[in-house]
Amino acid sequence: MIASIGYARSIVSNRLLVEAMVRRQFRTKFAATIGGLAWSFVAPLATMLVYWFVFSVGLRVQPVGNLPFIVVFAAAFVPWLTFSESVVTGSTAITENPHLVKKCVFPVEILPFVSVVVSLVTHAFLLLILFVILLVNGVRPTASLLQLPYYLLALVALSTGLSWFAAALNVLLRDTREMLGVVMNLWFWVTPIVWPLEMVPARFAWLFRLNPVLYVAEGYRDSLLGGDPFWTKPLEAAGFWCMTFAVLGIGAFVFRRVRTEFAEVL
Amino acid sequence: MTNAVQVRNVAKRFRVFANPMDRVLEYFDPFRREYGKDFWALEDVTFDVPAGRTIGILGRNGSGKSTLLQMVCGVLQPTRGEIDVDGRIAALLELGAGFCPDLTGRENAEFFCLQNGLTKAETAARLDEIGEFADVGEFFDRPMRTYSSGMFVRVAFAASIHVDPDILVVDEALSVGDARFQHKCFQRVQQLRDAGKTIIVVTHDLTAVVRHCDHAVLLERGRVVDSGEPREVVSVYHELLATGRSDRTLTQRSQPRQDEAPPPPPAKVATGTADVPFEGRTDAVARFAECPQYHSGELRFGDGRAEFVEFAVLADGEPLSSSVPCGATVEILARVYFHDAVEHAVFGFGFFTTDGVLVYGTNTAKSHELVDHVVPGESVVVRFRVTAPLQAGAYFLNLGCNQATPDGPVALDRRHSVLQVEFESAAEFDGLVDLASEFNTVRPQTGLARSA
Ligand SMILES: Nc1ncnc2c1ncn2[C@@H]1O[C@H](COP(=O)(O)OP(=O)(O)O)[C@@H](O)[C@H]1O
Ligand SMILES: [Mg+2]
Repeated sequence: MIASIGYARSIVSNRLLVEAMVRRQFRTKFAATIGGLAWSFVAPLATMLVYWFVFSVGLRVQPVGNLPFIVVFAAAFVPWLTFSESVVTGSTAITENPHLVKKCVFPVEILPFVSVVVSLVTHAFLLLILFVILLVNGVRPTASLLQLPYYLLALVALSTGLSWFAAALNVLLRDTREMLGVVMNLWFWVTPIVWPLEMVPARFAWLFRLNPVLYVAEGYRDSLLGGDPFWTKPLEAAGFWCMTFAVLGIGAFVFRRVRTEFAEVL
Repeated sequence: MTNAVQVRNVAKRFRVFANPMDRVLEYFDPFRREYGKDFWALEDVTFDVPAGRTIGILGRNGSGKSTLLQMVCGVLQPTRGEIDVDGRIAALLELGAGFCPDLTGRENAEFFCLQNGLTKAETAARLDEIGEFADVGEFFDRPMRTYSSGMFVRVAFAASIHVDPDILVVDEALSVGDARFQHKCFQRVQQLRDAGKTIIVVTHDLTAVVRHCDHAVLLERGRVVDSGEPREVVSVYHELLATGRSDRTLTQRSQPRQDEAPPPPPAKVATGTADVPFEGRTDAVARFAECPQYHSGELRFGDGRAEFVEFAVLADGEPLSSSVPCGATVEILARVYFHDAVEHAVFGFGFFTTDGVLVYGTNTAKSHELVDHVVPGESVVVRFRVTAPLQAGAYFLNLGCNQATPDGPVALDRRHSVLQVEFESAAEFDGLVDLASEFNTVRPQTGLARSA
């Protein structure tokens, strides 16, 4: 916990550097390709199309309540994509910058956070597309939309904690990134994003509710589709933040523990 | 005086593993079993860097210099001991480290400034200065991918000296770039020194160490083997490079051996002149301290199979008592006594300024005058004669006797700064050597030409 507070401070005091680092990541990531930034949301868009086609057209999944499937799905899929992208890219934040770690006086703890911020830029584009989908399907934004920043913050906090953990682990064990790919895939399917939580028997539902990503995914649905405000779900909120602070604490602790070895191992 | 950096009994251990997986196994092994070996890159290193001083760290490859600097910068943690740093450090541990080839020089410089804790406004103010110093023209606004290595270095160095650190740490970076840029770098280093900044450098440019450092530390196999006055430390380093050993016992060598001395053959003169100085002596008694130019602060090393026993300095054929008159021919005479038989002896000498710049140096191998097969008990008198139109002032002389072997020279008796000679100078000029220049000024308006 102490470690995560220290790191949060470091992020704040190094915010200019975070900003510069984000810009720099963008350059290297998108400079070499013709499509540039477009690629980072063409792929998720294609995935969304596939899911929509398979579930709505192929399997004829019924509209949820009075909303079309695609709308309910996309509203939760967008935060998921950002979550998974930021953790996966965050896991290589240290290993991909050996020079900064070994040869510079550099606050390396900001690097996993930088990956999260970079994912947020794609997130902004995804949100734009999401709004288009919503409008096309006749969903108008309501006052609930005002709580989106809160859920965004929740998403960032969770991703950052996991990124610290994954980035540190990946220094010791380069397989971490590949393993994360598998883990994220499984995680996606145990999270009620393409399927409704009502599908599971009520007595097991709590088990799925332990998943912190569900809180964010449902929160996005609430914000975008005009659901309940977040203060009407204090129990879920408490559960989520307990878990997220634990993840942040453990992530920062592991990061700090392994950090002394970064320069030796890389 | 406060210390900017204090290094106390620092040791650094690396774990070395046969394959990368072992490291992970060891890290997570519940029984704390060992999978790798210890490698001590540094052991018991202690030194201080007083604020405002420039110190040089010398040592052969692998002696632990970079590891030490990385610990000073906080990139590596010492396994034992403590490093206290007082002030903001800017590090140049590797040239262009942290520079991103996809960004332009300007963007990278900006990043570097922010990384070193400058604010946005300060950074903006400095970018143009950096570009000007690096002198890469319009390339400053092009991706660094397109740079030549020289340009890369210039931008990297320019950035690191413009971030206004309290402590500048540079690892083997000063000796790159062309001569003009190097000169500029050293000027800037001088400015930083004048501004009271602390500088720690690792460099193989020994002349620079002597000129610019207040203090030097010599590392060998992770230990400090010498520390002190740069000129002396550089000499010990030379010795280390020449002999592979670093003990300074030879400097305090006891009486020469006088046992099994066979009847001495007559003295030889390397340069082939007829008159034999030193009154024809051929014994092994060391009389060098009697020479008025002898400098007792000399640094001496070698394996002792031969010894310089006597020196004499003549100016225009007369023993030199004060300073060398302007334009005089200087002769340096030295008698070398051989305790053992030596094939291929080589004698050399060099003139150094007081701040360690080599003015001129040569040896008998360069002039193809090998002295073959010297027998035990034999003396060789070496005579070097030069006309040295030098700037007025004191100069140090190194004299040396090596054995030439196929693997390179082996030091028999090397005497660094063994003689101190004062030179006078008639002409007034800047620099070290009087190149006997001539000036012509022409004033075309008046059609008058004057020679000076
Ligand atoms: N990360 C590391 N792991 C294991 N050994 C290392 C590591 N870094 C340096 N060493 C070893 O430590 C010694 C000192 O290296 P270094 O400090 O780079 O020397 P120098 O800069 O004086 O040439 C070398 O033998 C090197 O192989
Ligand atoms: Mg090195």
